[in-house]
Amino acid sequence: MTFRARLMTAFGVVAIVPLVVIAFGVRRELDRRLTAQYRARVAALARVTGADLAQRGTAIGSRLSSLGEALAEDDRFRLAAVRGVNTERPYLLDYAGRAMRLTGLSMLQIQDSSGRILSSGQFRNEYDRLEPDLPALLAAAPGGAALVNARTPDGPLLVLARSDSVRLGGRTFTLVGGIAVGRTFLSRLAADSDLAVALRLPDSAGRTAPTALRDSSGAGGGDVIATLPVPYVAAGSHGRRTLQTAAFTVSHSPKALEALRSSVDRWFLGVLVLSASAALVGAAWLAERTSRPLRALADRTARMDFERLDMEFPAGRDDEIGALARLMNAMMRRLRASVSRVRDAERRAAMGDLARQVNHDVKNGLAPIRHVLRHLTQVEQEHPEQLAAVFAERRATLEASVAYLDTLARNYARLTPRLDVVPCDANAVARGVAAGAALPPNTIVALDLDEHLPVVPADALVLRRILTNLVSNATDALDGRSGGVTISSARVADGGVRVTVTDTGRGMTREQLDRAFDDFYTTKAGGTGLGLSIVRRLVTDLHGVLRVDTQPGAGTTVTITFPADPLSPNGMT
Amino acid sequence: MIAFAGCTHAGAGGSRLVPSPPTAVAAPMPDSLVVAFTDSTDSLPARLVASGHYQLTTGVDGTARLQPLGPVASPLLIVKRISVREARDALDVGVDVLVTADPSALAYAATRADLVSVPRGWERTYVFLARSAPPPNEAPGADSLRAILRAELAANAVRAEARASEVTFREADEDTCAGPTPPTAPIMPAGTPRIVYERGDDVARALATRLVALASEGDAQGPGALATIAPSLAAAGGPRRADGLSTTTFARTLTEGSAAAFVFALAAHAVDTCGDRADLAHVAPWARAEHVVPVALVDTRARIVARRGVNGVPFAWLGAP
Repeated sequence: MTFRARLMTAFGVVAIVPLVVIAFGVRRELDRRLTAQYRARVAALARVTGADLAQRGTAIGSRLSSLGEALAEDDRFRLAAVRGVNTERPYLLDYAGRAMRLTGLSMLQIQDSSGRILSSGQFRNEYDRLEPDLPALLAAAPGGAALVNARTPDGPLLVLARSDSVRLGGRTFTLVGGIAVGRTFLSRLAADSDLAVALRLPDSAGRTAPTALRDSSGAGGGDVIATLPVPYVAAGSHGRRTLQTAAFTVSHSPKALEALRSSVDRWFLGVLVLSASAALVGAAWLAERTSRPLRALADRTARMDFERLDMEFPAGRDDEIGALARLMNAMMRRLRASVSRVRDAERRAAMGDLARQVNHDVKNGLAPIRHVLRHLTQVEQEHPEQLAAVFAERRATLEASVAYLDTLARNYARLTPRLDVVPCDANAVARGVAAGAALPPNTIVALDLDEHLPVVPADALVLRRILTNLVSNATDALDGRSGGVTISSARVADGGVRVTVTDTGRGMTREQLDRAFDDFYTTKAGGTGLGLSIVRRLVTDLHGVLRVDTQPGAGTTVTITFPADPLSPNGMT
Repeated sequence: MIAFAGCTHAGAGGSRLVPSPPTAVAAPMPDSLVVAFTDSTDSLPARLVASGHYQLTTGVDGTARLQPLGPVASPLLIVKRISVREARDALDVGVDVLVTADPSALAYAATRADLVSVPRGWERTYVFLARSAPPPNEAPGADSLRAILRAELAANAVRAEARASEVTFREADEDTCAGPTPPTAPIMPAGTPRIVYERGDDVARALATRLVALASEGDAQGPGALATIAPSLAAAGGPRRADGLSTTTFARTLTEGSAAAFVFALAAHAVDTCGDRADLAHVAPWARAEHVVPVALVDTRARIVARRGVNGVPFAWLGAP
């Protein structure tokens, strides 16, 4: 697992785990409060239903009371009911029907003191029927109201009824009125669409039977949250009616609460997923931001080798990564010093080997000469007269040996160039390079030189080769377009010198820059691919640091920093 | 020339005219008269066309336009069928003649000095026909329980001008009135016994509901009253409900005899029991079966309310005697 992945995982866990824990805690508490409030609301609605039922019973009483007052002032009714005037009997028979419609009742009976029906609203032609027990049962009912199966021509009509009485002409008349109890009645009793009201009537044995009537909401089933008992005038044996107890049941379907919970859960889950996603994105961003400088250090470190000890790590941060970069830079400087010493040692070792080989080769070259000279000395001492002839005979050997030594000397002279490091004026070298550069048309080499530049320990010829190569590359990068190449110089803080070659050419991509210092890598037609490679080797030989800044289409800047003291570990920046 | 001034119409049939107050004598004959009637089971335009004095020109949405025929000058009649609730409003908005049995409208007309009310003849007999064992025959004019029941029904149960029916059906009628061979009576249908009537016929409904009420326990007259007309039905607990059926359904049910009892109207034939029997056999063939004896309950009639000063239409053509 990469460091970035570990960071992202850690950040994600740190962000998401508390988020999930808090979220589920909030969810549980929300659910608890939601359920409690919902149940409290349902209980309140059930109480409203009970109060509504009681209010309806009271309203029936109010209507009967008003009707009784109206009866007392109705002369035609008085004539028919009290005086028995036959011509007013139709008026009496129709009276309850008219009064019932006017008062909004569904059932109305007017009885005389014997229980004989004088007028009936819901059943006009049931006059003269005897029903004395009904007012008595209603009067005995708790609350004064009871459910009654009233007779109608179309069959029984269940009503919530109560009774009242009025005295006219010394006679008592009983009013029995009620409102229909049907699906509509039950629906109106249900104070909320989530509530269902049903009616359970007692059976013939007085036991509460299964639901006899439901409201029209269709919201059957659910939990019964309230039972509202109500008296019921039930038909008994032999026509005798008795007072029993029916019940309105208020039930509530848990579907509404479940739907509410599901809705909350969906919203909750959505918010949680969004939050977790945001946390993951944040963790990824944070991990990327944290690991990026480390990856940059790793990339630079991966490109580092003995041939590329001129790179520098960005040390601008003031945190641990910046400190690490500074340590890496110091390590690079020590490496460069060490490499320089190693190369010196190698050079010395090579010189020793070379000296031994030269000694051997020279000895090999001198041996024939020594032998010829001994031979000639011997001939002079023993046969002086033959000296000329022997010399002539051995002269070719002498000349061959001398030629061998001469060739040997020239060959050794060509083995390696030698740095002639002396205090060098970099500005003078720059001016010479600028003056001698072979430039295409519309191209100039500008100079931006620090006139107070200190001398730099370098080989003037090597320095000239470096700048010549860089200026040549810069003019090539212009691709024949008009543009400029600038050579600038400046003094650095430790007394060293920085020389910069800048062009406005095509610049390089990241891939091109990575390979720019490889041998034989070139993007130019006919190029050898050795220019920058030689430059870097020469800069390294002079203990300098090479830096390239480039952008495709924005040109390239090559910076070379020469230390004041090449052998000091802190001498280079 | 037709007028309300006690003249006698010279047209066919010699119909009598309603006496008219002297103030209407000089009233000019209008070009048209608006006649309204409330009985949904009546067909006043057909009655007028049948008189031979009018022909139907248009009939749209319950309104018929009747063109007078013959040499006698008569106004154009615009005949409308209206509901009972519209009867008083019709009098207020200028209907010239209203034919109705609604006691509320008649009571209102009685309070209006500009209106005159004339009774039509006893034109309908309401019959109770039950799938029941026959009641004992009664002697005509006897003061029997059945007569008391009829009188009570006419006086209290029906919200129309009614009288105890004078029509009597007896088993002997089957012998004296020629007719087809009596069919077998249909089997009593299962279910709750009920009395059915034609929806919209308020008199039939009133009679049916009263009979249901009489069948219930605790009634002052009790099942005994019902037993006078349908003893076996009363013995079985009586009808428990009264159902109004549409015209088509009622006609089919009556023809099939597929209800416990029926209440319906027949055209009155005061002195022609064979005619009543023939009418009954036409609508309920099974009623000719043995042991099925219909009971005539009440006779009803409507009234003609006319605006004083309106002339030009013989009341006889509207059904007045």
